[in-house]
Amino acid sequence: VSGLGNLLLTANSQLDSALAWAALVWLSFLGILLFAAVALAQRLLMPWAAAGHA
Amino acid sequence: MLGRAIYPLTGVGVMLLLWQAYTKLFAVSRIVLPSPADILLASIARYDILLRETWPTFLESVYGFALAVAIGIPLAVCVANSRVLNLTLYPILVATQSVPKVAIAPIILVWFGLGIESKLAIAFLVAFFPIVVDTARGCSRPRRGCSISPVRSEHPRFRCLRRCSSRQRFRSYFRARRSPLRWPSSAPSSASSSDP
Repeated sequence: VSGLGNLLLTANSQLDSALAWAALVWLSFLGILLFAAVALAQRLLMPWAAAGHA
Repeated sequence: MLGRAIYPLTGVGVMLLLWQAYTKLFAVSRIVLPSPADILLASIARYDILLRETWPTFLESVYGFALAVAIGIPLAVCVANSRVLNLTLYPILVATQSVPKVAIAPIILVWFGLGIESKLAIAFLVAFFPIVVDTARGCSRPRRGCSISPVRSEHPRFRCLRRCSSRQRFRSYFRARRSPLRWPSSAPSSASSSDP
C-alpha cells in the first residue's frame, strides 16, 4: 500500500497532523497540476474554444 | 499574466495569514490544527517521503482518468446518437454517479484488493460520469435544428453558419450531422468535463 492517501492515514493515526496536512497540501498541488495539464491540452488542441474558461 | 495571477495568490495568502494568526492567537493544539508554518516545516523536513508517495498517487489519478476517457467518450458518442441507448443507459449512468464513492469503497476493495486496481476503479468512477455527460452534450449540440447555437466552443468551420446562405447552412448542417462525433466541435465539451 502506498500513495499520499496512505501517508495521510498513517500520519493521522500517529497524531502527526502536520505531516497529514502536508500530504493534503501536496495532493492539492497534484490536483492543480493535473487541472493545468488539461487546460494546456485544451489550449493546444482546441484553440478556438475560449481560452479563459478552462 | 502576472496581473491575473495576483488575485488567486492574494486569496491564498490572506487565508494562510488568517489561519496562522488563529492558531497562534488561540494557541490551538498542533494536533488539532497545525499552523501553515508547521505544515510547511513538516513538508520540508519530510519532503523525501512526500515526493515518494506522490508518484503512485499521480499514476493512479492519471490512469484512472485515461480509463474514464477511453470508455467514457465512445459511450458518450453512442448515447448522443442513439435514442434507445440514451434512454437505456442513462439511469445506469446516473446510478453510478449518485452512489457515494465512500460507500462503495469497501466493495471495491473486496473486488480489486489493496493494489493499484482499486484506486483505478475509484478514480475511474469519479471521472467517468462528467466525461460522458459533457461529451454527450457536446456531441448532440449541432443537432438542435439548423442554427448551430453560437456557443463558446464553436469550431471556426461552423462559425460561418450564422451568416452564410441557407443552402450552405443546410449542407454544413448535414456534414456536421453525418459525423457522429461532431468532431471537432464537440471536443471542448469533453475537456470542460475533464476539469476536476
